[in-house]
Amino acid sequence: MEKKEIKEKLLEIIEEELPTVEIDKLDTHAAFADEYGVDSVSLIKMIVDAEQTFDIKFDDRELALNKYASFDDVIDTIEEKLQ
Amino acid sequence: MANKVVLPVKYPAITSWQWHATLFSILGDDENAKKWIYSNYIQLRCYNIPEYTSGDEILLCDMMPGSSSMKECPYLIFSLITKPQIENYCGDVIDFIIKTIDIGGYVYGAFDEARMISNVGVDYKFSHELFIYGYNTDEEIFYVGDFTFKDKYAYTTVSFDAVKRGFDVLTPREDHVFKDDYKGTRGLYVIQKNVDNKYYDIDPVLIKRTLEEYLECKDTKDHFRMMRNRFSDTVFGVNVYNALKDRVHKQLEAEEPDFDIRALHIAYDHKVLMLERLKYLMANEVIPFDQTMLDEYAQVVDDMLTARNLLVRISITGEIEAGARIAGYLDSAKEKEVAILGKVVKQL
Repeated sequence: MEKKEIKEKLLEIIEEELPTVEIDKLDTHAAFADEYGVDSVSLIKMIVDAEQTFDIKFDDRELALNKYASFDDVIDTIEEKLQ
Repeated sequence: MANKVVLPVKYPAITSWQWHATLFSILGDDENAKKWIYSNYIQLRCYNIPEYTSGDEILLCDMMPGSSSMKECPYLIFSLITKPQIENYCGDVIDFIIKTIDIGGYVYGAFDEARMISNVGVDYKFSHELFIYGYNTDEEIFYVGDFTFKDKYAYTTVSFDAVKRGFDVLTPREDHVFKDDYKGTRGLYVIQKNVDNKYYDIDPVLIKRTLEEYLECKDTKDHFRMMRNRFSDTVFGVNVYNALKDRVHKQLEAEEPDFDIRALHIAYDHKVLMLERLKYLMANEVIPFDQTMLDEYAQVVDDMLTARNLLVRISITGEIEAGARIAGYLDSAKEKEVAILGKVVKQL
């Protein structure tokens, strides 16, 4: 799957899990905890949705917020798992 | 009167309970206060108790000092002002809070936060501590730190009207801050920083003794019998790991599982703070610098974080069987922590 497609699908997940975020203005490079209020619970919800969407599995230790600085980091992790 | 005054706060390193989040919000950056913080907050204890809002049994886990931390801390002046005093001095609570902030005082006390969120259709009360650190009279808002309004500990704003509603409807018996007949009447606490002088130095004797009590699961509360009557079922020290495992098992085996993560979260915060303590003790040459020890303790922190996050994941997916892995992470954390802190005790 192309990175662009991964990003598009993740944006759909973000829209569902973080309804206050304006998707068309979202910067996937930005520090997502500070800029968009991503916390441990919202990240884990995103990960669970991503597991279903992409048919992948995150390890227990990959649920930690401190493993990711931005949505790009989540996209990279999904891409690695799809390879 | 200024239109807007916001007293300094820093997002707290630990957010487990409102009393700790408040203390760390005010003092987290103060170098002298660190000497007191790192000499305390070592012993961990827990006990089962009915939650005051729902009556459901919870495992209340906390570091020592617990909810009395702001009273005990030498770098805070923590003054109870009763409701009659507030009304007599100022007429109403809004004026009282503004005047308190104008002289550098933070405000802390119980409010009905259900009534604060909505003034209509609320047939229950949710008494919870609110931390107020600023105001804006043009917008008629207070700046507050709290768990309720953003579903996590966050600095946000609430209206003057909401604060007044939340304060006015609570009666003394509903005010858990003053429960246990600690002072017998409700009101608000005024908190002022008291950091001009150094009142307390880092205390290796206390750290060593409390670490030993933590490792040996001794009843640290026994030192304070003159101040409070005792709970009889309190678990101390590394035995808290076993209580956490039992609690998670009980939570997930229930017909309607509950996914309360608070006990795991406070245990995680305990490890976060212990790692910072080790760094502090090494930086101040109380114990020798040892990067390997820091790296190993970071794994304890990671184990606890993983255990907590796994319970969050189970609450979303319903995969109850994954709960067995939580016990594995807790066992791993305990084994590593006992070995590391055993070495620290010998070095102190």
